[in-house]
Amino acid sequence: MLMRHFVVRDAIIPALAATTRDEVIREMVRALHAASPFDTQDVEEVVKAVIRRETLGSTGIGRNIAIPHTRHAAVNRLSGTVAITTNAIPFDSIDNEPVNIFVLLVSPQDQPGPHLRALECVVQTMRDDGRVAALKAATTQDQIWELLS
Amino acid sequence: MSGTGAIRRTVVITNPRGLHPRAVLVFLKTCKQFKATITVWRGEKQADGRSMWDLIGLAAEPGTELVLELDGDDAAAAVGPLGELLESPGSDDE
Repeated sequence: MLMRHFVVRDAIIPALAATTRDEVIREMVRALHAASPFDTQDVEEVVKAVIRRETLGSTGIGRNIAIPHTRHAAVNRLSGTVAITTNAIPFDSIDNEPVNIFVLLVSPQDQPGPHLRALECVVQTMRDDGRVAALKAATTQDQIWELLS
Repeated sequence: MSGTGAIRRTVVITNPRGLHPRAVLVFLKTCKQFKATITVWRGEKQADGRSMWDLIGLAAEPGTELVLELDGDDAAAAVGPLGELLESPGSDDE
């Protein structure tokens, strides 16, 4: 699996406006819904689900990367987006470092396999220090998309 | 797999969400109670039991068989609680 298989290109955010954890999640979920609508108009319901999951334990996996995610009845297939900020945001990460690169995943409730493989794909992709540095420096959707091979 | 002194236990993931990141966090926290070298195998794929990245990288779905391998003075004490965590059906969170 490649990140391009589940990241929605038009939902990529090269420069987050958000400055807090919850604002990041809300901005990303809204961008994903705008580019690839959920089966609900209640986008805030999905936002709350991601925040609720984050409250159980941070998805900040270290090295300035976080993978906020949820499984939700409002979607029938795995999708996601990537967001970048130059102003790293506190995320209670495992290494206590703030986050510049966010990968949001929203999955159906009954498909753990694709969800877990997407998470695996994200960590494998982000093991590449050069790619992570390039993502942090990226300023356009196209630049980020090209780095998700 | 490593040394002859290691203790191994085969576990099957029963959590309906698989070995998801929240379960990994709980596993990592419990690992801190022990000094043993902790390795988790999925077939030939090896994960450092103290690495979130490695454990997420196993993508262990429900029904996946893993081998927990511990090496060190407290390996015998650690294998029970760590094995039970991996085999736990979990709660309703992610």
